[in-house]
Parts: sequence; C-alpha cells; structure tokens
Amino acid sequence: MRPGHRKLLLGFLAACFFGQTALVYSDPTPTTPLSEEALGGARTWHANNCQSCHQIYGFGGFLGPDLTNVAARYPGTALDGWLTHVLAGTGQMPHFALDEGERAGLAAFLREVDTTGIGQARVGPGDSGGFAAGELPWWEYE
Amino acid sequence: MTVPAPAADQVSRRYATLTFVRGALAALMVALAVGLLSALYSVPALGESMRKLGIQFTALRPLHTIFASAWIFLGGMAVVHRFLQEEGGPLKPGERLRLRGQVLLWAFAGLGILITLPLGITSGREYMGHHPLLSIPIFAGWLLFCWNYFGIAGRGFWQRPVYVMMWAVGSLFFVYTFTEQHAYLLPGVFGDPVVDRQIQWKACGTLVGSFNLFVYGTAIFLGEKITGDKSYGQSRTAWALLGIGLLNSFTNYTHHTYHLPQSHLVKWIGFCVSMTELLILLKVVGELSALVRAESEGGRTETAAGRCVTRILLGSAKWWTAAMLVSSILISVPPLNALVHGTYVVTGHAMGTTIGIDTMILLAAMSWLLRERPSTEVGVRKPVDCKQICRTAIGLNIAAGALAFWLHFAGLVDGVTRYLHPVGAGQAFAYRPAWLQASIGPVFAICGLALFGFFVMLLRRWVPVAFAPFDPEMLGEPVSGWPLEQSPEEREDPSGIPAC
Repeated sequence: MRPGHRKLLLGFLAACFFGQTALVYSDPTPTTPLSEEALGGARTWHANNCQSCHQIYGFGGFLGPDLTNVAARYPGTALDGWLTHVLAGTGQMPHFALDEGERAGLAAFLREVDTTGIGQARVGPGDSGGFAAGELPWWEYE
Repeated sequence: MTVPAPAADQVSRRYATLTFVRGALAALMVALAVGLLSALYSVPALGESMRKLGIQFTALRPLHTIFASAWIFLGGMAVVHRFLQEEGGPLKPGERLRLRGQVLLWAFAGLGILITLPLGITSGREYMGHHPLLSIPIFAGWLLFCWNYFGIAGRGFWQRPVYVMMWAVGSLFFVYTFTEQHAYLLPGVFGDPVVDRQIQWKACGTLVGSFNLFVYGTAIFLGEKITGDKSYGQSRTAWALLGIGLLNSFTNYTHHTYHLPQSHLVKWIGFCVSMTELLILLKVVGELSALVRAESEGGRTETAAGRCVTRILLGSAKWWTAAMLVSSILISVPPLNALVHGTYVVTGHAMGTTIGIDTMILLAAMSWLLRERPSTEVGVRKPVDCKQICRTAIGLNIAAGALAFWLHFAGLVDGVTRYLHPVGAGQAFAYRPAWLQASIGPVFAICGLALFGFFVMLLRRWVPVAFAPFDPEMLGEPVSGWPLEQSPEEREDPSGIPAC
C-alpha cells in the first residue's frame, strides 16, 4: 500500500473515531442524574466493588444476579429489608458491614437506576409477538 | 549457530527487551494465580472457606483483569522493544532515562495495585479496579514509552511495515482510552448511571482495541521474523486488518450495550462493523501460520525443531479465532444477544479471545524472544522448545478450549432457560436447572485448575531462562530447543524436535 493511501486510511479511521465519539457524547437519549442520597449509594457500590459480582446493565461480574431492576421486585421499603438480609451474608454473598446511612443510600441508588430502563434484554412469552412488553431487543425497543 | 558479538549500543536495548519479557511473565503469573483463586471461588464451599481466610472475590477479580491486561500490554511491549533493538541505533541518554522512568513507574504501580486491592482500596470499576491515584504512574510511564517509540518509529513512519503503525495507533489509543476510563471522576458522569455506563463501555471497548493492536502487530512482526518474508508487513491484507481492527475497536463494544438506553444509531454502527474484524484476522493468522509451517517444513532442521512451540501456539491462534468468530456472532446478532447477554457466554468470549488469541500469540512471541538469549547468560543450554513443551502447549489449548466451551455452554443453557422461565430481577439464577447450578462452579474450577497446571508447566521452563542474570557481553550460542545433555538417538529424532 502506498504512503498516500496509508494516510488516507488513517485519516478516514480518525474521522470515524471522532464521529463515533461525538455520537456517544452527544447522545440525545434523556437520562436522569442521581439524587444526593443515591449518589452516596453509588459511592458505596463502587467502594465495596459490588460490580465484581453484580451487573448494572450487564456491566460487571456474573457470580451474582444483575441488579438494574431489582428495585422493581422489592417496591418501597421492601428493598431496604432485602438489602439488610443479603448484606448480612447469604450463600455466595459475603457479609458487608454497612451502616444504616450507607444501606439507605444503596437502596436509593438501586431505586433510581431501576427508573432508567430495563437492564437485561430478556426475551420472554408475552402479548407482543412473543415478547414481553418493555423487554424487546433494541432494534424493536421503543 | 553462533550469535555475532554485540555492538555496544545494542546491549541496553537488548536489556530493555528482556526487562519487558520479565515484566510480562511476572504479570502473567500474578494473573494466573488470582485467576485460579477466582475460579475456585465459584465453588460455593471453597468460596466460603476463602472468605473465612480473608480472601475476597472483590479483590481477586480486579487483580485478575488488571494483570491479564498488563500481561498483554507488557508482552506486546517486549516485542516492540525487540523491534527497537534493530531500528533504534545507539541508546541516547534521554531515551535511557525515559526507559528507566517507565520501568520504575510501572513497577511502582504494579506493586501498589498488588498491595492496595487486597486491602479493599478500589475504584470499583471494570478493568480499572485500582485506586485512581495509581493511574498516574501508569499514565506517566505510558507517555514516556510513546516518547521513545515515536522518536524512533516516527522516522520514515509512512513507509514502515504495518506493525509499526499498529503499535503506534495502539499506543495513542491507550492514551485516549485510559483518560476516558477516568471520566467517572467528573461529577456529571458519575452522577448519571446511564451516561457513566455508556462511557465506561466505550472506554473498555477501546482499551481492548488498543491491546488487540499490540497483539496483531506482534503476530505480523513475529511472522516476518520467522519466515524472513518482509513483504507481509506491507501487504494489503495486513493493512486491511489494521483498518478493520481499528474500526472495530471503537465500535464493536456496542454488542454489550444493546439494552442500554442510548442512540440506536450507535448500536447499528457497532453491529454492522462488528462482523468484519474476526474474518480478516482469521485470514491473517491463517496466512501467517501457513507461512511459518511452510518455512519450517522446508527449512533447516534445527531451526524448524526449535520453533515447534512457536508454530503450535501461532497455529492454535488461528483455530481460536475461528471459534471466537462463532461466539462473536452469538453476542452481536441482536436476537441472540438478547438471549445470551448477561450470562457466562460473555465471560467465555472474553476468556476465549484473551487466552486463545492474545495469549497464544504472545506466548509464541515469548518463546521466540527467549530462544534468543545466549546460552552463556543462562548458564546451560536450557530448552525453550522441546517435545515436552510442545505437548504442554497442546494441553494448554485443550484446557483453555474446555474452559471456553463450558462457559459458552453454561451461558447458553442459562440464556435459554431464562427465556423459557423468566423470573424477577435480582433473583439469583432461579431459572437455572438444578444440574447446572450444581455443576457450573465445580466444572469451571476444574477447567481453571487444568489450565493453570499447563501454564505452570510451560512457565517452569521459561521463567528460569527469562530471569537468568543478564550478560552484557552477549556472547555465545542462543538458547535453543537442544539441551546440553542429549543422547544421539534424540539428536537423530526424525521429527526434528528435541526431547527436554
């Protein structure tokens, strides 16, 4: 390949890279910033490396379940109760000595993450062509 | 075969190559040790015992991912320094200072990570689980490397073989992606979980792209050196690999984000591009292993025999690439992605590509680099390539294959049963069949143990050669596959491969 062609190739690739980066950073999808309490919970999540075993939107380890929408399963104060139970150590889950404020922050974090979308594209039986509403793969997901 | 007496200015460059070989092998050993412990952790009873001993999975996993990445980067960098040995000329004082700075900074960072993560000091991020302060020496060391590399490779840059460009782009890419990995330090990013994950996935994808470029460059450089055919580095196929590899490195991470709230355009671009990279890589690895095989079959007996393990490792990367193509399709085609994402298929794909493609190519490079060490340095002629090591390389592939297969199989079963029996979020694998729940951890641990065993068998031979004291005189014959005490029968072995 001639040097001129190489420069063109690299130039094209650089343009693609910056274009793609611009697309990601200017994404128009509406998102909601975390509240102060949930922000504390996010810090607790990272400080304890919860991501080692659990996922948020499929990002993390697979030793434990995805927790993106766990708050939907435990509405209201049920989530706090569930957290108290699992953080004490159960099965493969180790014991985490979090104080009440940290636990409340973590609950707030998981509640607010739950409102942002569906964490796992689960294809299941439903009334929308065999897919459960709200659980469609992305190319049909509106 | 004898090695000519060294030019004085070559000695330091040769030492630099050896230093990175040692660093890469050290990082591999750490990654293997914590990887084995992580695999054992998946057996509930063992996990509980390890927790009681104070060994936490939250420390093991980031240690494994960090040191596995370090192995790939350092292995690639050893090959880059081997290239600089030939192209660099005399080592200038400034260059020497930067090199020393780079090694010291990275050694400090490596030790720092090894100490702080078990103490629970973590950022809690994927791939970058260490405390962000330790990113400073890593980043500074990388900039020093870029300075040295571009100072030499920059001369006549556009005429140079494709691997020079791959390493150059990989280096710059690392600078970018490493910075982007730390975007979470900005309150606006950390405070928005969706934006945080959009950027984190993008940065992780680019990081993998960066080290892939180092590995692809290594494969082509190695092929060129072994065959003596310099045309390959200038070929259209090799440049196509660079183009497609690079395009993929900043788009194909999106198969992990199909369900993340973000622009569909980003996902479509990622999907369209992601199907292309492995096809071209398959072609390149296939062509290179064919070249090496042809050269070995028709070439000098000792040389061919001594490259037995290099051939096996490079050849196996071809089959791994084909297998990972299938795995990549599983993850990238949206309906299949919906089925398997969030299961062990993703882990199987990550481990398959990291061990099967990247590690096999880098181990082939290590075998080639270690064979260059003069026997006077090593003390005796220790075998780097021999029948036993070749068998170990085959065993290594079988064990890695079993591990990747099991993870894919378990992930697929999980995906299908999750489809058939949807359960509430956060319910720990209630959809998983009992037989899989009982076997997933133990089989994973057994495969991991076997893989670890084969790695140990390989490193048991190579580590003493790599860590033997450096001899600046650089005289004598290179370490070959031929041991000092060798029976005539072994020398006349028709396969041409020496026994250990």
